[in-house]
Formats: sequence, structure tokens, C-alpha cells
Amino acid sequence: MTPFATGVLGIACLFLLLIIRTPVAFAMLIVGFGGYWFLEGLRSAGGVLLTESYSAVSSYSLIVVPMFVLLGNVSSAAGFSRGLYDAAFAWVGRFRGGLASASVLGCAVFAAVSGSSVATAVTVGKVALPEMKRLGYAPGLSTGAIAAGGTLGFLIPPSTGFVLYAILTEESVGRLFMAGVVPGLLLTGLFILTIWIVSLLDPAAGPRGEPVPFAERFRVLMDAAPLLLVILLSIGGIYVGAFTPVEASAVGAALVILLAIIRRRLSWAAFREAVVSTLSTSAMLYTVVIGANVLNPFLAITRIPAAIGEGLGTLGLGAYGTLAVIILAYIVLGMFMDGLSMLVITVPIVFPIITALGFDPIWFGVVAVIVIEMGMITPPVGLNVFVVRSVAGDVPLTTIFRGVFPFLIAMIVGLLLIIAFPGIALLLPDTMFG
Amino acid sequence: MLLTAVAAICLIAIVAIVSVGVVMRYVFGAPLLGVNEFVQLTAVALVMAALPFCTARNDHVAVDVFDDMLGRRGRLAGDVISRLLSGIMLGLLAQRAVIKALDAWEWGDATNMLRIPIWPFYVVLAVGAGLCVLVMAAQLVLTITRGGK
Repeated sequence: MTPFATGVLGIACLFLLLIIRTPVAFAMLIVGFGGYWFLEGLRSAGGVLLTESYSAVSSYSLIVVPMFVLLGNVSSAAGFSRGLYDAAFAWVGRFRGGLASASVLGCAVFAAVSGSSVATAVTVGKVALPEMKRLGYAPGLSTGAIAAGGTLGFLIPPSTGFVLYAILTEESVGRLFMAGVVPGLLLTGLFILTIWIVSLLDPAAGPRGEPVPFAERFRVLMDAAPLLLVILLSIGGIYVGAFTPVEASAVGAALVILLAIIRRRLSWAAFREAVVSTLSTSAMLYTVVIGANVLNPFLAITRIPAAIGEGLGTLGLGAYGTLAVIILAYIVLGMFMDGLSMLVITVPIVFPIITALGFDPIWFGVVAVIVIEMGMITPPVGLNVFVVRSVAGDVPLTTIFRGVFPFLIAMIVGLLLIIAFPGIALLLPDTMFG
Repeated sequence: MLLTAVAAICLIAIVAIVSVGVVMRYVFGAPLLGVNEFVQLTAVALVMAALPFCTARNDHVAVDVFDDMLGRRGRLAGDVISRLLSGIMLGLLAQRAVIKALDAWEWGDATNMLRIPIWPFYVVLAVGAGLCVLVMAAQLVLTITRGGK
């Protein structure tokens, strides 16, 4: 059997393993190891297994994962999301659909301490959904806003997606983080615009909140200020080159823990739970990286990525046509797979094609992450929609999927803007120091 | 539980040492040497101590879209096959890590900056992977005796 045929068989086995619910990390590990064994012998396969596992668990840059997960978990356990939501509400609550807009803003800010869409949607959803229900918001609008707002967690730094993309492609984590900032703000703006349009068309869907007096607005903002300062310090620190991403993540985590202790917001039990869940999430993410690291050398010797690239090349679609094909493939895959799995499985195949076409690797990271986020809110499998449903309790899935639809259009608009004007993503990384 | 405590201590230690390193550099103008190595080695212990726990909690991401299509028997067979194969992979990893640890011990391999011997970290890798195999074996027995759900 040729290496190429082995590769095709390997990918078939990978999907088979995924279908029988083998964890993604182990499915990649099994196929990568098995394929390497078949092509290069047991000795080399064992060598790859050990070297790749050790290099993943002893990687310096991957340490941002447990650090940022801890930062997010502690902020959530200490109830900082409540403060963020209150501050956002004080400022935008009086507009049409004000509570929904405040939720999206809350998500955007919480995304700056959390790298996960699910965590963002859950944390903000727990605070915001009951409020919107109380004021009689249409369930579709309120849940849709949270499901869509949650996806910002994956785009606004720190982002698990960018860390994995950086590890897989050997790009800089810091530059990718910076590249996510402006697109994240752009999407936040588009989401708020969407809410405004929806509530303009159907004023009953998103009533205005009661206006908050000016002095009160500043009081709530000051209350949220320490956390905003931590965010500014860690992300700004990466931009001006004062911190490496690892340093920013550790300092951020340390500051948030201190802040929670000083304000007496963190019980020992809540802190323990935050740490325990950080450990489990980190172990899971590391295993995914190990799996991807073992699968990739196998895929490389089968020359499958190169063959797909050449195949796409002979279609004569040009650079943007090929990009469109890749994005469509992502959208289709995203309907069935969760974002993390999709990222680690596809990037090694797609990345060489994209760079060969002359696209910027950092820019594509942003595009890939946004497309993957869209997969998180499209049926039949929209992880964020499921999560919001479990928080909301009594809203049918179809209502949420329908409510999310306008936001999906906003994401497509955002994506097209970033494709048309790559500067939206590249401005910050190209001007950063260090 | 002991393992989780070890992993938690590693996590907090990394937060602390990196933060102290930053404070030393900016406030006292005296960068700590070898923070990278300390962090890398602690990370090995963190991840390998947390892995059996993560496996026991079933926190690994899997695709569960096809649950209904598989049927009860299909799910049972799938769980058995995937646990078995995953367990074998981690077993192989543990075995390789033991060989490497013996090798590194014999040659006295050490890190560049702090001259820390590296063999204990391969032992940690082996122990973590080995414990994970035990967890998976236990889950396998449970799955078979319960006959899937």
C-alpha cells in the first residue's frame, strides 16, 4: 500500500473512531501511531509517540493554557461577571434591546479573561438570562444574543483556539492574540447592531431597560474597574512587549486571585472547584495537543495535505476561490464537530495550502477561528446553543437556533469584511512591539 | 485525590514563579534565571498528575452526534473498543517513557540552565500514563458489567 493510500485509510479510521465516541485526542493518537507504525516500523512510531508527548507536556508556550483557564475560572467563581454585566447595563441598558446589548458587551469583556466560548456563554448567561426574562425579552433574542456573544470567548484574547493554532503552525501566540482584538470588537459591534435592528423591527422582543442615573453609572463602572485593569494590563502588556503571553497569563491569574481575596469574593470551596476544573480542562487540552502532534508527522509522510493542495490548485479557482472552498468545508464540518476538534484536525491539512496561496498565516488564524465559531451556533450541533439551552432551562432548541440566525448573518458580514480588509486583523500584530 | 493536590500545587507554583520572575525583572531589575526550565518541568508534573483525574471525570472531548444512530449495542462496542485502544496507546507511552528514563539516568542527562536531571520527569510521564491506563481499565470493566446505557 502506498503512503498516500495508507493516509486515506488512516483518515477513514479517524472518522470511524470519532463516530464510536473515542475522545478526539485518543483517536488522533491511535491513528497517528498506527499509521506511523505501518509505514515506518514500530520503533520509529514509539519514538514519535514519546518525543511528541514529552515535548507537548514540557512546552513553555502551552503553559498559557492552564494559566488563562485558571484566570477565567477564578473570575467566574468570584462573580466578576456580575459586575461586568451591571456596568455594561448601566451604560447601554436604556437603548432598544439594551439588556441583550449589555449581555453581548459583558460577553466581550469576559472573553478577555476567558479563552472558551462555552465558559463565556455559561458565565454571562447565568447572570443575564434571568434579567432578560424578567423584563419580558423574546426568548429567541435573549438566548441568541448569549449564544452568539459567547463565541467571542474563542476570538478575543486569551483564546484557546489561537493557542492551539499557534502550536500547530508554529506561529507566535502573542501576534495571534493581538490579531483577535479588533475583529473581536468588530463582531461585538455587529452583534449590538443586530440586536438594535431586531428590536426595531419587533419592539416587544427587546424592550428598553430603565435608565440608570449618571452618578450610578460611574459607581458601577468603578466597581468593575479592577478587572478591566487586569485585562488592560495583560493584553496591553503583550502588545507593548512588556510581557510574553506566558507572563501575561500568569500575572493575570495571580492578580485576579489576589483581587478576589481582597474583595472577599472567593470562598475556599469555590477556589478549590475553580482549580480542580482548571486541571481537568488543561489535561484535556494537552492530550488534544499530544494527539495532534502524533497525527501530524504521519499525515506529513503520506503527503495528503500536499495532494489536497495540488488538487485544489488544478481546479483553477484562484486564491480567493480556494479560500471560499475551504471556508465552506469548515462550515459544513462545523455543523457536526466541535470547534476544538475541528481546529486540530484541519489546520495541519489546510495551513500549507493557505500559505502556499500567499495568504497571511496570522490572518488565516483569525478567519479560521471565526468560521469555527459559526459552527458553534449552527444546527444540528451547535455547542453554544446547547449550553445556553441548559442555562436557560425552558427554551426549546429550535427557538434558540432561530434567535441565533440574525447573529450568524452578522458573523458572515464580519468575516467578509475581514477577508476584504485583512488590516482589521493585522493592524495590531503588525504594529506591536517586541 | 493526592494526585489532584500535586497537580494543584504545580499549577499555583507556576503562577507564583512566573509572577515573581516578572516582579523581579521590572521592580528589582534582577531577572530570575531558569524560570523557563522550572515552568517546563513543573508543567510535566501538572499535566501528568491531572490526566488520570481528567480521564476519570470523562472530561475528554468526544463527538457524540451519532449516539442515537449507534444504538445501545453500538455504543457499548464503541466504548469498549475506544477504551481498549486508548489504554494500549497510553500503556505504550508509559513503557517508552520508562526506557527513556533509564537511559537518561544512565547518561546523566540534565537541563541546560539549572542542570536538573531529566530522568525523574520521564518517570512522572510514565506514572501518569500508567495510572491513566488503570483508570481506563476500571472504566472498561464498569462499562462491560453494566452493559452500556
